[in-house]
Amino acid sequence: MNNILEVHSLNKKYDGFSLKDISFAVPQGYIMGFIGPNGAGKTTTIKSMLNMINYQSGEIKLLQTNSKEGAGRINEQVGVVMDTPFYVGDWRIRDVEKAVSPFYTHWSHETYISLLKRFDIAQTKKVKELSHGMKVKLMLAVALSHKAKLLILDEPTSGLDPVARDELCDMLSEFVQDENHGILFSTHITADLEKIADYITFILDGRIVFTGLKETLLEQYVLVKGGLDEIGGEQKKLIVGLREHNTGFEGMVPSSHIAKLPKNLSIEPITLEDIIIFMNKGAN
Amino acid sequence: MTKILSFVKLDFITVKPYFTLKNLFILIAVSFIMMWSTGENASVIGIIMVFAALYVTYPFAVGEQNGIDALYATLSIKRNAVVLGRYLFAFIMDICAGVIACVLSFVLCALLQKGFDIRETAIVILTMFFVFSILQAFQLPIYFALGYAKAKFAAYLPFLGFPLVILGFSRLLKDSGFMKQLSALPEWIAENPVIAVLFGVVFWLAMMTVSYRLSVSFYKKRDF
Repeated sequence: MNNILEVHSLNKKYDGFSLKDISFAVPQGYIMGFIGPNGAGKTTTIKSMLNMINYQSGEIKLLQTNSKEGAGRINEQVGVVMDTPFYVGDWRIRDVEKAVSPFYTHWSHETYISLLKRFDIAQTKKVKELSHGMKVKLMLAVALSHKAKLLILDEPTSGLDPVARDELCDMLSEFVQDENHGILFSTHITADLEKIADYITFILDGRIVFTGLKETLLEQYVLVKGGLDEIGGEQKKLIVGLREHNTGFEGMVPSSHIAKLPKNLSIEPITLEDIIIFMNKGAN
Repeated sequence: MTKILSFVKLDFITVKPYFTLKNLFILIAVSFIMMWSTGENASVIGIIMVFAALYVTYPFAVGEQNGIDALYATLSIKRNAVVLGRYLFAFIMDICAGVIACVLSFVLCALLQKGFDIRETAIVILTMFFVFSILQAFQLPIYFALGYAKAKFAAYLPFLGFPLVILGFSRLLKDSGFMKQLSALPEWIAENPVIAVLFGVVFWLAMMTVSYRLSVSFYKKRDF
């Protein structure tokens, strides 16, 4: 199985924050969810991939080509949707096509127009007149109109209503039906990833804490709940991100440690959102 | 090369919303007033070149407001292509300004019933083009290094500094032999036009090359 995106030992240092030895890979034909709390380094990693920022060390391969060496041609096969669009606010929607299409060898005017119709975006509108959700849809229309093989999405669903999010998820699932395609999907709305992601990469404080199959991550931890008197001091140490309140406690425990906990505790399957919350709490 | 030309087109699309009729009317009105008050079409040419110089900074201003440098990265435009494209955009803007200045001077001369000397107008336009593009050669690396918001003040220093430097030098060297030699320069140029133009072109190219290289090295270091 080939990887459509590979990140090897990426390091980027800012004052007060750094990406430390980031490594992960997105296999062809799959969707990878890129999760982590705010400020964990998701956008910095994505910007490094797209050569928007300079990094100190590491190697990034997009479609098996070094992203720095192939910067002049590889990005053409990459569709990008960021949380805010890069288009000039005073451009009309038809100007967006005039501006970007010359840079794509495989630009399809028909696809662009049909996607605009599907998203209900009038060509005469100015970019600044679109709502946040519509701007995201415009970026998606561009990303899907040049026959990209890899989609990199940074918080694309944050401004979308549930219906539009569901539609987007369907489109992304459709996109990876072609086994030469792949998606890196960074989002806070982990429910979307639970629905469509095959792999998860979890970043926390500039480090990768997990990368692999989504099921593996969800099987690796469980949610534990119980009364305050049901657990001892040593057992508390096994709990990641322990949260205590008047009536009891809750936290996340590695599945391998369940046997070390009292039998009467409530053990539930965990969600991606819980993992982010408890991991972040544990790290703090 | 195709990508660089596409980039120039992208720059024009970026500033297109600001090529408004209102700005055109302001340009014509100011030119008319200058021509009427001074009777010199050099003032009209100067005003149009200043407008062009302002428009050259628009892609930096508009781009920064909308995060367009990140768009260039997603469009596979290498950073040196961005810089070269922007220099080409500035060059084309200056050429267009020269052509518009020539046409507007002719129309205003006809309206105000003043004489229009095409040769003299062409020399003024060429000189202004030379001066303004040299000033841009100082200005552009500052924008590429700092971005529009941070560079705004510093980037206009060449425009403010140029007349001051000329004034300062002429006062300082008022009684020296150098000023006498300098005052003989127009005469020398008139006698040796080919050498003068050749020297001008070589100087312009050298300035542009140094400016371009500085811009590339500054722009490559920036994060978006």
